[in-house]
Amino acid sequence: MRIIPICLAIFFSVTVHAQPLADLEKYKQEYPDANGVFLKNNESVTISLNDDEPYIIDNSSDELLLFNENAHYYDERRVYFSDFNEIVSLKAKTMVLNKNKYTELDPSEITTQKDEERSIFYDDAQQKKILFSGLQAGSKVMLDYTLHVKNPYLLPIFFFNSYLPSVASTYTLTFPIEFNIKYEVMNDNGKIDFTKETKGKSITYTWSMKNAPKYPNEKDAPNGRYYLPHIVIYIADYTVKGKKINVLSDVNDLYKWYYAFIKNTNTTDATPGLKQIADSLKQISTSEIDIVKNVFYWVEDHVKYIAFEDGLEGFIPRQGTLVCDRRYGDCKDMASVIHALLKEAGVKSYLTWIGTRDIPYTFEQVPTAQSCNHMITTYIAPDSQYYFLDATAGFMPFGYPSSGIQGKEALIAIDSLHYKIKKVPEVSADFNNKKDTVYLTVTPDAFVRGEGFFNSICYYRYYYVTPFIYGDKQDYPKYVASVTGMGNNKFKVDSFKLINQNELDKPFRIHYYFSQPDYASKTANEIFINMNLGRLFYNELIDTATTKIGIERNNNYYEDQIYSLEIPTGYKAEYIPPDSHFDNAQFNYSISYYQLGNKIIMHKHINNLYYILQPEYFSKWNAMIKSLNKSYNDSVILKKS
Amino acid sequence: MKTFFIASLLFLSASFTVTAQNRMAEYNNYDWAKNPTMHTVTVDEQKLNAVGEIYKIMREYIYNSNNELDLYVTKHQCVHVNNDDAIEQFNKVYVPYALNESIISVKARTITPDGKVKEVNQSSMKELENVADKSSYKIFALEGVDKGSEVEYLYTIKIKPSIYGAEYLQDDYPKKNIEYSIISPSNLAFKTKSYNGLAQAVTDTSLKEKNYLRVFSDGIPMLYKEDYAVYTANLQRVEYKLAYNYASSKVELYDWPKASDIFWTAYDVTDMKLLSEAKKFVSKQQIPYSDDENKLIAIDNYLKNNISIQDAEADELADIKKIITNKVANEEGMIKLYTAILNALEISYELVVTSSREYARFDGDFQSWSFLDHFLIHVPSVDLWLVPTDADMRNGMIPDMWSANDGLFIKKISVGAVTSGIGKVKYIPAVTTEMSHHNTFATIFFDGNFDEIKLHLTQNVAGYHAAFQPYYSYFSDDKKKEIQNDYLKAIGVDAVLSNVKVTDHLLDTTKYHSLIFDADVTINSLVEHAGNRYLFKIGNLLGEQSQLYNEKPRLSPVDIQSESVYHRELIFTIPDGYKISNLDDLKLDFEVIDNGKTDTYFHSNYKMEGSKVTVSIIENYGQIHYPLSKYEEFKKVINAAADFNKVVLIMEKTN
Repeated sequence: MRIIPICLAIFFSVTVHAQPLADLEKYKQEYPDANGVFLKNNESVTISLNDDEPYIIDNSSDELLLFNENAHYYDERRVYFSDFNEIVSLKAKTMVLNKNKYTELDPSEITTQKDEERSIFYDDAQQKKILFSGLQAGSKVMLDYTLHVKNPYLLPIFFFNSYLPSVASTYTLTFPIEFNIKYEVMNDNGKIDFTKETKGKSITYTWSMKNAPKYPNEKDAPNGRYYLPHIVIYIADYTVKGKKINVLSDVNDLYKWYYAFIKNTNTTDATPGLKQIADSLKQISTSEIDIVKNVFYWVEDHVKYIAFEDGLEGFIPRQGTLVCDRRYGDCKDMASVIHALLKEAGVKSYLTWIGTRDIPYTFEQVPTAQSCNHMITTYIAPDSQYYFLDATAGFMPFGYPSSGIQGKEALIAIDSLHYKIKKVPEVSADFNNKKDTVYLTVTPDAFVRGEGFFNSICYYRYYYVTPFIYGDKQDYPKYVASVTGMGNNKFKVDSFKLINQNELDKPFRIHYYFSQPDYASKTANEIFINMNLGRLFYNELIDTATTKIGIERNNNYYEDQIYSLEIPTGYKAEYIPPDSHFDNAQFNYSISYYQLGNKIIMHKHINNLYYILQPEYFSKWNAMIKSLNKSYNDSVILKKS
Repeated sequence: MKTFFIASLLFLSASFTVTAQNRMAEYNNYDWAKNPTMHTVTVDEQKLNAVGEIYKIMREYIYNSNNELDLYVTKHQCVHVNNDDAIEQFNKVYVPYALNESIISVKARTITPDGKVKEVNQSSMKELENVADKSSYKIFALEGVDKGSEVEYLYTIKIKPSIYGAEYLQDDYPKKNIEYSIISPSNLAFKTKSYNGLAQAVTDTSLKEKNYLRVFSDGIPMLYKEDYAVYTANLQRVEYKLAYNYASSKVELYDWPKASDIFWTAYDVTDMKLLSEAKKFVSKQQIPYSDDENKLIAIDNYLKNNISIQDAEADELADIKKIITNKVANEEGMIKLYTAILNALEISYELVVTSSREYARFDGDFQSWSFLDHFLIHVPSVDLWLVPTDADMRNGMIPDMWSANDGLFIKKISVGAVTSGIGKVKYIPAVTTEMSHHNTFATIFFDGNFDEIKLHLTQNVAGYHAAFQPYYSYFSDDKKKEIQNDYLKAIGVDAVLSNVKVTDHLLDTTKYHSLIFDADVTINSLVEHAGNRYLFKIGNLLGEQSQLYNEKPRLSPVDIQSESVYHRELIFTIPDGYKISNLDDLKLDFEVIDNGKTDTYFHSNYKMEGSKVTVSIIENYGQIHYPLSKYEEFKKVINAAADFNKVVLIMEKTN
C-alpha cells in the first residue's frame, strides 16, 4: 500500500523540476499576495573538534523565487562578517527563466564594504554587498555562504520567517558526541518539526517549518524575539581527551567568561584628572549616596556616548581613568568610569551586564551573550537598595533605571567568583508622569488666552527636556507648543519660563502664556469652547484587522490635566459636558467637570499602565478610545446672560 | 558618472619643464599655532551652540615626479563648543579619502576651558574602509571636550585632482576667519565664482611660478534650515573650475561647447547593430500606440518596470545588448538605452543636463561642469520629458528639484558626415499643476444622527502627489489598503470606509492622468457636541495641513518643491430644523502678488441653494521661487489652509 504514494511523490517532484513555468504558477497561486517566496531558507551549523578546540562552520543557503515585475526590487543582498565571523565561501547567482528553462547568471557586482549606519562610531563589522542581475518574473535568486564562527561562545540564532514567505525553513545543527549542546525553541507555534539523528559519532538536530509567512511589519510591535519562532543554540560543554571543558553550561559559565573581560578593569592607578574629579565630587557630597549621585550626574554631563566595536574590544570596558580623560566612551566605558570614580571616592560599586527590553530572555533560560547587549554599574546601598546606574541616556534623574532596562535582569559582578542576578524595577506611573494646570480666558470674540504650569518627572522629564538641551534657542517656542500638546496649530506661545531645566533631581517645569485666536467658535449670543486642549490618545483606535502582535510602550505613565476656564463677564455657563470615565487595570481615564464661582473646571486623568498591550485587550482599548473620543468631542457653551 | 570623461580629458600634464619651485608644496608651510590660546567669545556668542573660530581650506595642485597632477587638500578648523549639542556635533571627526588616495597628515586637539591642550594620539585613530562603496575615512574622537572647549583639527589629504566642484563655506553655526584658496602650477589657471553674498576671489601673486586664488571672509553668519527653502543652495559657497592649461592651448576648458560635444558623443548611440537590437526589443513589447508621445510613455514605463538601475560600475551594466538580456543597467546604460531606442524610432531628442536646485541653481554664466549632474531627455516634437535614471519619474514627470532650473540642452548637429552635439542653456520648466495636483470632493449627508456622519469622499491625486502611481497595481493588498487609508482616512482616522474604489491606475496611459480614490465614509470626529448644538468641523475634510506658526526669523527666500494645486469642493445640506449662522467663516482669501502676477493663492467661498451649501476652495502654488520680501504674504497662503482646517460650523436648532 505504501508504494504508490512514494512513486507519486517522485513522479511529481520530477515533473515540477522539468516545468519551471508550471512551478512558478503553482507558487504564485499558493502565495497570491507575495512578490516571491523562499523555496528554501536554510542555515546549518556544524561543530567539530580541530586541534582539541571547537571549530564552527555556519552555512546559510537560500533560494528565492520571484513572481512578478517587482522582481528587480530584490536585487540587493548583504552578508555580514567581522572578526568573529569570517567568510569561508560565498556563492551567488540568478537562475533566469527563459522559455521554460533556467539559465545561470552571475551577479553584476559583489563588493566588500562597511555599513553606512552611524550609530556605532567605529564598527569592525563588514559586509559583502551583492547586486544580482537578470531579475524578472520567474527568476530565482540563489545565495549560499559559509562563515567560520571563530568564537564558540557566539553561536547564531535562527529565525524561520523572512521578508518574504518561505516554503521550507530549516535549521540544522551537527556536532560530535563529545559535545553537549543546549537549545531553546522560542515562541513555538506548534509548526516546528524537530528531529534528532545520531550517525556514528555525530549527532544532528534539525528544526524545520513549512510555509512560514513573511514576518509582519507592524508599527509599535515589540521586538521580533518576543513573538517570532526562533531557535537559540549554545555549547554547554565538550570533552577532550577525557576532560570536560565547560563553555556556557549555565549562568556560572557565562559569568566566568564575562568576568575575564573585566578582571583588569580599573585595577590601575587613577590619573590625576580622575583623582581631581573624584575628590571634588566627594567634597561637595554629604553622604555616600550623595557621592553616587554626584558621580552619576558628572558622567551624564561630561562623558559623551561614542561607541567603538572592534573584536573583543566590544566586550572589554576601557579603564575608567582613560574614559574620564577622554570624556567619551560606549556603555561599557561609561559603566567603567562611574565604577572608577566611585572607587576613587571610596565607594564600592559593581560592573553589571544587562539586556535591554528588546531581549525577552532570562539569564537562566539563555546563559549566553544573546541575553546581553548593554553594560551599567550597580551600587548597593547599606539599606540593600539597588541603584542601576546607566549614564548613556544623558540627563536621566538619579535613582531611576534608564527606560530600556526596566524589568530586566542585571548580572552584577561582585568579584571573580560571585555574582548576583537582580531584577531592575519597573517604574510605576506614580513616578513617571506629566501634569499640566491651565487657566483659560475667552473674550466675547472667542479669542482664547491661557496661562499654564507644566510639570514632568522621570522619563517624561527626560523626554521633554531633551529638545531644550539640544535645540536652537530660537526654536524654544515651538518646543513649548509641542510639550503642552494643546489645541490646534495656531497655538501661539506668547512667553514662557523654563524651570529646573538643569536640576535633574527636580521636576522639569514650564510656566507659559499662550493665545489661540481661532480655537473657540461663536454665534451672536454664544461661545463654544472645547476644554480638551490636549487630547492624548484621541482617535488612537487599533485596527484589529491589521494589528495582530501587540503594542509596545516604553513606560508606564499617567497624564493629569486641569483646565480652569473663566467665564467672561456678562456670560453664563449654558452647557457643561457630562463626566466620563473608563475603567480597566491596564489603561483607564476619567474626565470630570464642575463649576466653581465664575470658573468651569475640567479635570482629566489618563493612566497607561502596561509595557506590551496584548491583542486580547485590543477591543477593550478601542472601547476606551471610543468613550474618550466622545468626551473629547464635547464642548462647553457660554451664553450671554 | 561624469568621471569617465575626465580620465580621457585630462590633458593636464605639463608639456614644459616643471621647475623645482613648481614642485614645492605650500601645505608644508602651513601649521596651527604652536601654543594655542582660547579665542575670545562674546556674551552673545556664548548663547550659540557653537562658534567657528578658524575655517581654512587650501587646494593645492602639484605635479609629481612623473609629471602627473596631484591634489593636496588641507583643512584647518577650530570650533568653540558651548553645549551638549555642539560637543556631540564636533567631538567626532571623519577625514575622507577614496581608493588610491591617502592621508598625508592629520592632527587634532582640544583646548579645554582651563587652558589645557589635549592632542589626539595617532594610535587612537581608526580606519573605516569603503563605507557603502562611497568613501573611506580616518576617524577619531576629540578627547577631553567639555562645554566651553575649543576643538581644532588640521589635516592634509592627497586626492584625485578634481577640476571643477564647489565648496560650501556656510553652516548652521557662525564662522569667523575663513579662507578658501586654490594653488596651481603656472600653466593651470582656475576660475572661481562666489555665491550668496560671499566675496569673490582675489589673485595673490606672492607665490612664484604658481597661480594663487584666495577667497576671504571675516565672518559668515549661520543659516538654519527652514521650510519652503532650498537650504544647501542658499549657503555661501565657491564654485571652481580649471579654465586653462596654457601648456597646451589658450582655449577655455570645461565650458558648455565642450560639454555638449563630449556628452552627446558619449551618450548618443548610433551603432546600427545596437539600434536594430533596440528596435527589435521595442517591437517585441507590442506597444498599442502609434503616436510618439504615448508610444514613448509606454516604452518608458515598460523599461522602468523591468530593468533595475544599479549603482555599480561593471561594463555590462552600460552594454545595451547585456541590459536587454539581463534586465539590469547602471545610469549610463539607461541613458544609452533610451537614446538607442529614440534613434531606432527616428525620433529626435535633446539631451538635457542640469544640477539639482536643492544644492546649486544652474548658473549658465559660470561654465563649469559641476552643474552637469543630472540627465534628462526632452523630445521637442511632442514636448515630452523622459528621465532614464529615475524609475519613479514617468508619464512626463521630472524630479522636482531638477526642474524650474536652467540646464544645458544638447542637440545633434551634423556637419557633412560628422555629427556631434551643440548646446544651449535654457529653462527646464516646472511640471504644471495640470499634471500634479491633489483634489478633494466630499458630499456630506446629515441624516439626524450626529454621532455618525456619512459622506462620500473622492481624493484625486496626480504627479508628485501620487509618486507611487506607477507601482500601485503591483502592490500587495495590504500596501494598497495602507495607501487608500492614507488618502481616505486623512479626514480623521476613525473614518470607516466602504465601497472603496481606486480608478485609473493604468501604467501605460498618457500624461495628465490621475489616481482617484473613492469611498463611502462613516465618521464621528467630524461633528462635536455642545449640548443640543452640533459643531461641524468642516475644516477636517482638508486633512492635516502644513503651517508656519511659532517660526524663527526668516532668513531664506521662498523655494517650493513643485507647482501644485489643491482644488476642493465640499457639499452638504443643512438638516431640517437647524441653522448655521457662521457660514461666513468659510470665506478666506490670501494671495501673493509678485510682479503683478498672482500665481500663489488660497481662495475659499461658498454658495447656498436652498439649504444646500457648496464650499469651493482653490489653493494654488504656481510659482516656485519668491524673494525674501514676499515671505510674509507666502506664509499667509500656507497658513490659510491650516486656518481653514480649524473652521467649525455651528448647527443650532432653528426654534
